[in-house]
Amino acid sequence: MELPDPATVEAVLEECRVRGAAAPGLMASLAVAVNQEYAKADTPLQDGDEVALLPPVSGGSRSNGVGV
Amino acid sequence: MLVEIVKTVVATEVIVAGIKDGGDGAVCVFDGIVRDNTRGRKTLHLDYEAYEEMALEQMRGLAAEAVTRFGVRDVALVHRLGRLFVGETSVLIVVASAHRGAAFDACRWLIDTLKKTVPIWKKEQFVDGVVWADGEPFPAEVALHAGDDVEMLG
Repeated sequence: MELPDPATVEAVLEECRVRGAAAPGLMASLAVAVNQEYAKADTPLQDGDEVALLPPVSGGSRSNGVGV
Repeated sequence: MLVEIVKTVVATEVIVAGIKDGGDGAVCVFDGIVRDNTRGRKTLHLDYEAYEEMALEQMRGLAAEAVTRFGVRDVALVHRLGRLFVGETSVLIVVASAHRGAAFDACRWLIDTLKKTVPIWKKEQFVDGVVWADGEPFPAEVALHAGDDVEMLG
């Protein structure tokens, strides 16, 4: 993905919004990892960084809002 | 510390037996298993997927933090991926400690934190449909903006 320099995580999200990559509700719930570590919206990016958009996670054994 | 992501059956008994040491007074085990329903809707199986390298690194961090935060001696943390059926173990947490209080507290903290921060997702196959499980909102430490976990988004 080509981004303006200097690039940030927010620029990636904006590009995804422009492209309609995901529903607005999902976009609002995402966390972002840069090189496999959680990042903030203003985290700067370098060429070659691995950026992952993560929906709310659901590991473990129980569903949201229901007992164990 | 045993921290693993596996694709086959979790060897619960072997892991629990293997962690015990002479100085321990308690081993606390959380065995998270697949339930046969969600909100009364009958479940056939679950499919777990992960951002695997990051998930493993996050799990290693949680296990190490549990030891320092609660003063327990050792932790085993194992999550299974792939298709799991009712009654199978999806996540196993074992905490060994000199005293039970710390073991209980660390075990509870580990499962609660894992469920909110480790990048693993599950798809629920019901008798009458399929859905990706709703995740919990990300806590402020890992959210994009501080305070995201208390805002009402969407």
